[in-house]
Amino acid sequence: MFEEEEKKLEQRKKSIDKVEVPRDKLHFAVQSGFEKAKKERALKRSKIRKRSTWSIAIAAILLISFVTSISVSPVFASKVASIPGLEKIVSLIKQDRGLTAAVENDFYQPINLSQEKNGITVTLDGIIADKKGMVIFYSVHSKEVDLSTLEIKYLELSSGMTPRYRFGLGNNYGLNLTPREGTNFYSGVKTIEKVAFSKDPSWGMGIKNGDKIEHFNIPFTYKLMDVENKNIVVDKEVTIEGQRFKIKQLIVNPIRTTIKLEEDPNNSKKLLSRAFDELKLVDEMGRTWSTTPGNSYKVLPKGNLWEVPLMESFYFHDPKELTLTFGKVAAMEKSEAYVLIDTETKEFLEQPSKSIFSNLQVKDNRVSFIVQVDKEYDKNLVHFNKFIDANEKEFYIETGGLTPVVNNYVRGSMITVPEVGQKFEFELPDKSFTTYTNPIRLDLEFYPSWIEEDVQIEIK
Amino acid sequence: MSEMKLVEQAIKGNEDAFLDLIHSYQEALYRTAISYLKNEGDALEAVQEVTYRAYRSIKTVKQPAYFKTWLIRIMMNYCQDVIKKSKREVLEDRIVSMQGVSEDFTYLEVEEALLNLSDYERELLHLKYFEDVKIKDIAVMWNTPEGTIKTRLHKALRALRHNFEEKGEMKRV
Repeated sequence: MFEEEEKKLEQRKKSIDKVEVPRDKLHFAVQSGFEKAKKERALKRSKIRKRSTWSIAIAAILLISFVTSISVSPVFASKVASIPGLEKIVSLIKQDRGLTAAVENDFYQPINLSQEKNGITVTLDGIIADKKGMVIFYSVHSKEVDLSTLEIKYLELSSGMTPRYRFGLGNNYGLNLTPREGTNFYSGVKTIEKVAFSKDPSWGMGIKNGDKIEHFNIPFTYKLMDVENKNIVVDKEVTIEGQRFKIKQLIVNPIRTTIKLEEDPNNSKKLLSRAFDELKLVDEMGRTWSTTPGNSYKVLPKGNLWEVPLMESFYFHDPKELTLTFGKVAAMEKSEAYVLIDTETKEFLEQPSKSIFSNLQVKDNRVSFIVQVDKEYDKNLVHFNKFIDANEKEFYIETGGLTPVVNNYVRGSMITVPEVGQKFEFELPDKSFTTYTNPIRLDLEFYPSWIEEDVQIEIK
Repeated sequence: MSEMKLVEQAIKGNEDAFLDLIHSYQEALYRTAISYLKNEGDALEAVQEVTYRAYRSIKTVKQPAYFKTWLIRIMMNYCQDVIKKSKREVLEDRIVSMQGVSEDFTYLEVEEALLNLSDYERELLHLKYFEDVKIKDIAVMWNTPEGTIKTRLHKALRALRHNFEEKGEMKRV
């Protein structure tokens, strides 16, 4: 029945079997993995023995700190047994050391409220909340409708009637609900980085069933956990390829750790979007906390302060020593970080020395050019959100959804042209509406350019 | 010592037995990693991490007869996590740069189609067509009726075919 597919899979196996195995390195990899596990076990034993006279609570927290993602700790298991509804979300959090520890330390608040509409039931299972943000666990099940035919259209957190957070998908998009294997049950988790405490919050969700969107809204109440942050003040400077940065401090709270750092305004290079994707913290036992790629951001558009959130928080792990490394930092010369276009003469007046832009065209009020990025570079990073005319007037380029009917908004698009690159196109403002003055400038927030130097910073 | 004895010893905490076992399966683990991650560095790191994870959870092995598959599954889970964390484009490019297999276009096509399957489907196909585990054994291991496994396997193959066809159409356009 599937002879062809089977044949292809067998061919694939054969070609992978042909790949040469680096035997020495492989042997070494096994040995070092084994050593790492042994060392950790020994450490764990000695620590627990030493503190056996301490209170059970402290012992429990210590134990947690040695649990990594793969196995579930006894503490965690007992929480699962004692908190109603928690078993549903286990698979969502056991990959995240920070969240697991939050549950183990009683930060999980079960909600277990459901709403049913046309055979589909949405449940707000529970939340983890601290002063800044919230992690929301929700699930969907149905006895009548096959979940894999449904799509999520939006997720929303409101305070009274006011939406506080919304994750929405455009008209033509939906997120497939993929039910858990062998069930008709879906569970999801949404981390909301910043949301103020609200007395009357509600969780909303839009689910597309065929042509119809079902809107769910579940009001709930929760306690704001009054916890102390375990912030670490660093105030250390670092130089990477001549560019100076200052690590200000680490904001450490139960669900999130954020690194605050500052770029020296006199640096010759500009930090690009996703500047700190490779930043990493390693503790004395080799445990690593990495950043969530793409999540580092500038606090103020014109400021020098950056915030880099980590994927997991180490709040409950209390590392003794912490070392920070940067990896590759996305940056380019400030003097080159833009493209200057004259729409009359239809040419690039200025662009970076090793330019990735070509084939400029101006036709019927539309400007377009090709952006060529290497295979190693994520083409999703390529974007322009505004252009600036000779009088510093800003025009915002809207590439998705509706373009606001305001005279400094124009439509734009980015498409992939096979074997050529990304084609970026935007409209010039309608002259009867508003005017602009040549040349126009597009500032670069992305570029395949990095700085890298082997530097380490002792945080703790 | 027979493999079963070794596994039993390893579960009891015998470190030499554990190391013997991992070393005897290190190549299988490496090939699984290569099949997912496509490059030597990442595959070696995967083997290291899986050794570490296996040692930590050795006590959870319930069926010593399926020890090898247990290891392979830890590896597959690990690789799937890595893939999710990195980006697909990056991975596809790695495939192209992989030596010795780059000329074979069929291979690329399969690789792309596999990326579009669910973790479960990919795991199933891997066990059946890469590790040559019998459907009967998968059924025992996963505590699922044989018929169900067969149905799911067919579903996975159908999804694969669908991906091939989709790809084919795109090329024609």
